[in-house]
Amino acid sequence: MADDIQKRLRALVQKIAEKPIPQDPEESLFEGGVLDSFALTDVVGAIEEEFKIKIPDKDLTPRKFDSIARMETYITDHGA
Amino acid sequence: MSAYLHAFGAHLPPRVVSNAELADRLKCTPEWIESVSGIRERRWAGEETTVADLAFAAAEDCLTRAGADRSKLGMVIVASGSAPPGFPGPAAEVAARLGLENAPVLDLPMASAGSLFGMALASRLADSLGDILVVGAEKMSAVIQAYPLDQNTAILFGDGAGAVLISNREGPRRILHSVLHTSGELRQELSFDWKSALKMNGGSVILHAARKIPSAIREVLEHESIAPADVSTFLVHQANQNLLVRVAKALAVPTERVFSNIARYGNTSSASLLIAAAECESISTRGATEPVAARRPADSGPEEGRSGLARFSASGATEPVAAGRPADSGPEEGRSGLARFSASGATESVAAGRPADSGFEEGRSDPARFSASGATEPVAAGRPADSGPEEGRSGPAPLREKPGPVVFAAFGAGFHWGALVAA
Repeated sequence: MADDIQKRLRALVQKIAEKPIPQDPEESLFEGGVLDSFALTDVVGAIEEEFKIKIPDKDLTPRKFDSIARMETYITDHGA
Repeated sequence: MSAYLHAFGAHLPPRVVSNAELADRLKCTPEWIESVSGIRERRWAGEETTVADLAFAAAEDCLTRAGADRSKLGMVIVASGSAPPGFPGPAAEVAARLGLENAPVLDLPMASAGSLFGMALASRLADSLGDILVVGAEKMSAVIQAYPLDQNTAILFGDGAGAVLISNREGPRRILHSVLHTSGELRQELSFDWKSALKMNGGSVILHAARKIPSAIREVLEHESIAPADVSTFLVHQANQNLLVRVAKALAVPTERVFSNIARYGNTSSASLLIAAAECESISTRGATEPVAARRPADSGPEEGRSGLARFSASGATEPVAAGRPADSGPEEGRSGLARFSASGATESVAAGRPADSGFEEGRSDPARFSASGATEPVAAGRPADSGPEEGRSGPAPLREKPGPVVFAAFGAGFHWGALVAA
């Protein structure tokens, strides 16, 4: 299940990112320049669509979506 | 509710601060500033010029355009996030200089979204108060220069003021509806208290603005059963060009329908919405109204008397105020633009890198320029890669020439955000 989420996350992030996604899921996507702030808005929207969840405004913080691992944790914690 | 938009006005201080001038002080290059923000220049008021000076000049411009009797003003609202702390705020001075004796005035100490909140408030009060003048005025140069210049914020902000007359008297456009929202728990994400430098978690600001502005626009339009595609012009707080493009994309409307003048004025916070409206209206009534920029406040300092329009050449190119030093100090190696941020939550600028789908090249995404004659003239907007305008379209729909609704929207520190629709 976790592998599946991570695979789907990698696919959707890669569609938006301008650089290859790092293999290490813990690695920051922002510090490495894979995503920037505006791209993150697209990523959040894509996560909502892909995983059929609604990310509330209170959770709209870049830290929660800084890496594939953090995205996965968020999705798992929110019942997707 | 019966409230109408009658006229807009604006004032921009004449001193043009080019990217070259700022780059010299910030140890970066003009090209870098433009590439990360879309801003080419901004206006800075003189040291002696106050927020009230700027507000008064915009108020005068608006009342002149409206042909309104100022003695009949029922209220004046002045929004500003950069007015000095203390009391009274600038609204009282503006009212006094307008010669008002008994009309109530109100300060809205709100950056960025202040004008929109003022407009919405005025639309709800017009039935009982009649003519209400709403002004947004900012001296953001004082904010960014209160502490050592921060490269991430200093490049963004400019000074200026805008105004709108709203009344229960029938006017060119009727305000149909407005929605306002605030998320106070996020107030620390963008803040300034004059005790420390401007704080801006740009990543968070961008994330929220990119969602909340389209959401508010949809909300206000759905209330009136209007489709975004049927809106002629979107006037959105000029925070950064990339955000404006995102708003258009989220609403599935051509980018050209979202008016933009950020390249020339930067982010003027709460003033930007009304400056944009005044400029958009100038385009539509070209020849009938004077240009927006640089009217002299009655008692402002000598530097205010200079026409900012003289800075523009006939070709529309901008003459730099000061020759920037050669680009010998570019951004650090590996720096990837202000839109980047770290997971640690380090502060970053709201400005974004050059959007992939909307360039700032000459003749693109720049709906209006000033000619040497001082008249505002539309410049044919290029077709954006993702959503082209109709054939022959040359920029946003003017306020007075198109029957379609006009939407105003803003987002800012607080967080405060909302939208208003008029038709």
